Amino acid sequence: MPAADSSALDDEVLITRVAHRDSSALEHLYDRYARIVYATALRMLGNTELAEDIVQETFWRVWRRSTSFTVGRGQVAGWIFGIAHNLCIDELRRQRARPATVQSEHKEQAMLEQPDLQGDVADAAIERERRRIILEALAQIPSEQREVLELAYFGGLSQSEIAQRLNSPIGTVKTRTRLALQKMRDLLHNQKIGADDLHD
Amino acid sequence: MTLPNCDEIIELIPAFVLGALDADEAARVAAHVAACPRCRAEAESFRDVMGLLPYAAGSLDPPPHVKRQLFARIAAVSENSSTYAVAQPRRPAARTSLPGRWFAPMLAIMLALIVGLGAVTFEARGRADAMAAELATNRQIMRSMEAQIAEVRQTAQTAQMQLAASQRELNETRIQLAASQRELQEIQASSSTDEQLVSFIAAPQTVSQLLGTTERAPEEASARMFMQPGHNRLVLLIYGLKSAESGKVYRLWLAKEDQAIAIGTVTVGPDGVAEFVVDAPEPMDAYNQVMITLDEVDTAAQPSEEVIFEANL
Repeated sequence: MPAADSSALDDEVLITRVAHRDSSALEHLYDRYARIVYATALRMLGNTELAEDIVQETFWRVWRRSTSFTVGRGQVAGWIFGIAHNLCIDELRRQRARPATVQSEHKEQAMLEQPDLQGDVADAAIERERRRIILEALAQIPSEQREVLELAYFGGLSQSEIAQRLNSPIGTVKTRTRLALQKMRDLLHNQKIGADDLHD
Repeated sequence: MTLPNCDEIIELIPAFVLGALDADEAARVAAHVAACPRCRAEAESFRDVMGLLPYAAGSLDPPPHVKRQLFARIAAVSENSSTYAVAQPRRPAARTSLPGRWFAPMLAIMLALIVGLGAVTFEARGRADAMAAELATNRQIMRSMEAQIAEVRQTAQTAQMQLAASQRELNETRIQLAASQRELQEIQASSSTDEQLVSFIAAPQTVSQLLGTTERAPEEASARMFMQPGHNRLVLLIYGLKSAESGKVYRLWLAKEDQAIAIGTVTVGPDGVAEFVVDAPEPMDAYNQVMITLDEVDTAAQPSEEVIFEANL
């Protein structure tokens, strides 16, 4: 059951075991991705308690919905991060709908300025490599595209909200969003690397 | 395969995978992507980007209690797998009303308690329902039995009343029967007397003699005596005589050699008729005179002066 026993296991093997109600497999996935989820949630929500809740709820849903994950159709990490991201967006939109929100705790930081505070070294090399890849890719796209990408992904803003925030035409925001993501895709494709590649 | 609005949808797919579309627009794109292989492939082409973007936020260990709470929650639900479907994933909005670090363990404990208490409550409720149903049935049976007992008591009371009435009727019948028997006996006795009287009077050897009246006898009064020679029996029929006044009786006397012998008292009915049958101490041939006197009740030693009928034999 210790994480070290299967730290080298493929994510798809682990998610298959989770689908068969192997909680130790979920623990491996937690040890592998909870740090990323927590950092992302904290980045998006700016509140440690809410971020902790997002982590727990994300892996609870992984446990509950593992049977719906189709092996071979996508990355396990991307699926987990998608769950966490959607939870954060829902929370942000609820906060915006309420008169008083906890957004005051939100401390916006540029993606390129996020510290690496990971403490577990089991997957540290993989995490560092992935972070390096994404940061390098982000560094290669224009800053206005990176800004839109950051507001969309970590700010949880819709394109119309981004346009309002930046006081830019909605068409411009749509174009920047599309170009940013396409550029990121092409950069990563050129590097022939994906999020799961390092675990496969 | 390309759907009519693929070009429009493809322009939206980057925002779609980022979650940057409004809800209605996101739903429209999702429906299209599900049906359009080209657009689905376009969306999946961003998989690597979406899988790596979170790493841009850095890496930070969540507090240890988050992991403990998560697996306690899973263990609590797994131990009650029969109620697995009841457990619902928490929603961040609901959690904001409680401190996040306490919510998960509390929820896990509450889930276990709810499941445990639910089972106990369900079992207890089931037992209570069964006992209540049994109690209701027993009460119904008791009410039915009470109604039957009341009905039986009423029937018994009615029967007792009928029995008492029957007993009273029986007693009255017995009394009437006794009276009838007495009357019958009297009738039989009277009939026997009448039969004896008739047979004696009708016998060929019977002779009769009209008794003479005195000045004390009523004008309409008459008396006839029947007797048989050599026999002791004497029959006396009297008509038109008033009943004896209080303290006095009509008495029959037979005289032999100037010695009067009291034979008996004669009772006169309301119709003025008296029938008297008597056996004399000796055959009637031994007597030479007969008379009927009106005597005091207690003076039977010798006849009084008030002779009503008399005759020589």
